Amino acid sequence: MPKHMDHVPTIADAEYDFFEDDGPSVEAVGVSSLLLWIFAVAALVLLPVATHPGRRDLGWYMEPFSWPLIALSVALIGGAVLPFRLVRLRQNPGFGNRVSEAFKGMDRALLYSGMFLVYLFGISWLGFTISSAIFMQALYWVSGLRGGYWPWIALAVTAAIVLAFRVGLDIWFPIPPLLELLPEQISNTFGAYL
Amino acid sequence: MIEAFILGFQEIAHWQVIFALFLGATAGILVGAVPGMEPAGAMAIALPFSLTMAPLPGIILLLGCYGGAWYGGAIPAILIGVPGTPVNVLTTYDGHPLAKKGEPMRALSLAYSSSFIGGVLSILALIFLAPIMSQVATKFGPPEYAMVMVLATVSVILAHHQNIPGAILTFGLGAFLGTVGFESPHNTLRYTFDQNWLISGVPMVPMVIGLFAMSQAFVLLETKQAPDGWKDLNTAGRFAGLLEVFKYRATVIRSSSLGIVMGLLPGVGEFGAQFLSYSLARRFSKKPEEFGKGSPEGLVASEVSINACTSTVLVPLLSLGIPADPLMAMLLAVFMIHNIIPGPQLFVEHADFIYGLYISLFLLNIFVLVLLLAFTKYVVRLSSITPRTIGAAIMVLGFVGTYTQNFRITDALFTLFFAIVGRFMLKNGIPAFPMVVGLVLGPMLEQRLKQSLSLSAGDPMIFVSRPLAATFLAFAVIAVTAFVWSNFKQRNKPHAAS
Repeated sequence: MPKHMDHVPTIADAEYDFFEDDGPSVEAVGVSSLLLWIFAVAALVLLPVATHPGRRDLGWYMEPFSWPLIALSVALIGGAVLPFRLVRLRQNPGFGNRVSEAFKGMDRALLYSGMFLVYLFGISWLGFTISSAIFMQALYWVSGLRGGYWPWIALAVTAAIVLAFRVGLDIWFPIPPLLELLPEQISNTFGAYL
Repeated sequence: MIEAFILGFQEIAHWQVIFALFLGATAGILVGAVPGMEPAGAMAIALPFSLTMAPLPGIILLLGCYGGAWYGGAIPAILIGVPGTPVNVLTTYDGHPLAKKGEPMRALSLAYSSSFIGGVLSILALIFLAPIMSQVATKFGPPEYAMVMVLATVSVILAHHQNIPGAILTFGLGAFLGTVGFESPHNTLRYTFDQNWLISGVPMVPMVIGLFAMSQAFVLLETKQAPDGWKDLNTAGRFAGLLEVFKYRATVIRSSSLGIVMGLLPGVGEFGAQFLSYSLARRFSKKPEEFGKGSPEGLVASEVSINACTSTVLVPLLSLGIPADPLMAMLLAVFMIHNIIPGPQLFVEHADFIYGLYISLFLLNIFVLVLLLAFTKYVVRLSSITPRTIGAAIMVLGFVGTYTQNFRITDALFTLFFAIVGRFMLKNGIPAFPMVVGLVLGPMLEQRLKQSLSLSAGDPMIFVSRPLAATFLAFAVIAVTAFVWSNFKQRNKPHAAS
């Protein structure tokens, strides 16, 4: 019988990666919640400039700032334990290493995110089909699927996506500037698919 | 009721519904059969299709992805010991040992029939409970709705008992994000900083796709090995295993009851149901020593309870408009896009839709079962697909799913933001689901609280002076007190022993 059968698990048990063997350390949990906590503090500091005053006679609960204030207060008070636990642990040996664990693997996630951002810009300039083909090839290459038949697989997957969504569902995209450089007849013909 | 069912049959007698059932069931099975791909990813893929369809087929398509994935998830769980979806984790305990003993098809067909029975009982419970709940909801005013939302929030937070502060933190942040954009009654803007793309607020679908689908794509893109597939599966005797489930009637009744009840509780769902069901099945079994070593009873307990939740999660959504899990939150968005507003009026104004939905859910379970019995031999090969190719496909499909809702590239920026945040949170054990609940329930709670306090001229006693509202509030308080008390007792245990 596995150890984790001793508690009554809930949806929280779903939120772990089957591809990652080790659970997070207390420090990693602490530092990630600290970042969220800082975000909440920043939002609270911005509250006076980010909301407009309402009519006082309607009551405090109608004020535009009331609900953001309540929500942020709930977040800050309810989640305060985790960052404070982190501060308490800072004297422990290996603290820095365990804190840095929280960011392990995030460089790759940020790399893929950067590629996705370029992909979004690419769609505006090159259109959905060409950008998706390039993006898919790039993802395969960066993730280590290089050489052999992988480029063809990437192309086939892109073609299937384009057929399903661009041709099948006729999802609308603005005509990219690249196509406007081509003769009108060609850009009109291919514009619906690219 | 019979008239309503006839209307329902008329509603489903359309090629789009049959197509959606087939497509949803197939997509769900395929997604479940590929380890690491979750129903959220499938729903992201199916979203553009569902938006182009009429309301019923569009919603059935998404429900097919949702329900089919739990069935399909049993395949890799049994054959290679890797759960196809996170909820199939307990299926590996007995399903995989049974397959290793040389009875893979027996384990698979037992899982299919258990899932089918759980799924059908869940639909019956939905048909019975949803109208009752909606009848009760007709007596609700703003204070009652507000307190139901408070109770749902408490349920979701307590469901994350391993990290309650994290759940409160992310719920609060989600509720805060729900305040961004246009506000009434003063008609002002909050936290938009003169950015037009923030006026309509933080969209929920990109958040769900980012947190649950694209963040998973990052993981898949870094997963080097595909699990060993089951190349040649002998599917002879697949019908014999179907009937075996009836040997475990007590387990079926207990597990389905647990699944049905837990499906109603926001945040608890399949996970709470299957673990509790499995523990109880072992406790009451005549052969508890076989659990974890290939016990058919253990497999039945796990699969029945998972699928017994799949329709009852719709009860709070349809009758109150409260989503019980992230996928239901996504479904809520689709309801809204199709101008179907969940709540008591839905059962009056759209009875044909509701009964069409019930019948479609029955058909969906039959479709999935038939597809699995016919094509298991081929579906098992999907387990060996290279995860990185799936990750790359999810990245593109995640964009398509996000973009097609409003045809705005900026929505994809939200998806990207939540994908990074989601990856960071899930990696470090910070629960993401309360954030979605906060985003969905936050604005609704704000509106209901404002209405309630306006009714009472700012007197908060309105929440305790109305019987129904006071009852919901009492439930929430009791749940929190019981949780704190049990934690206090557990903490004191070692001291007492020492």
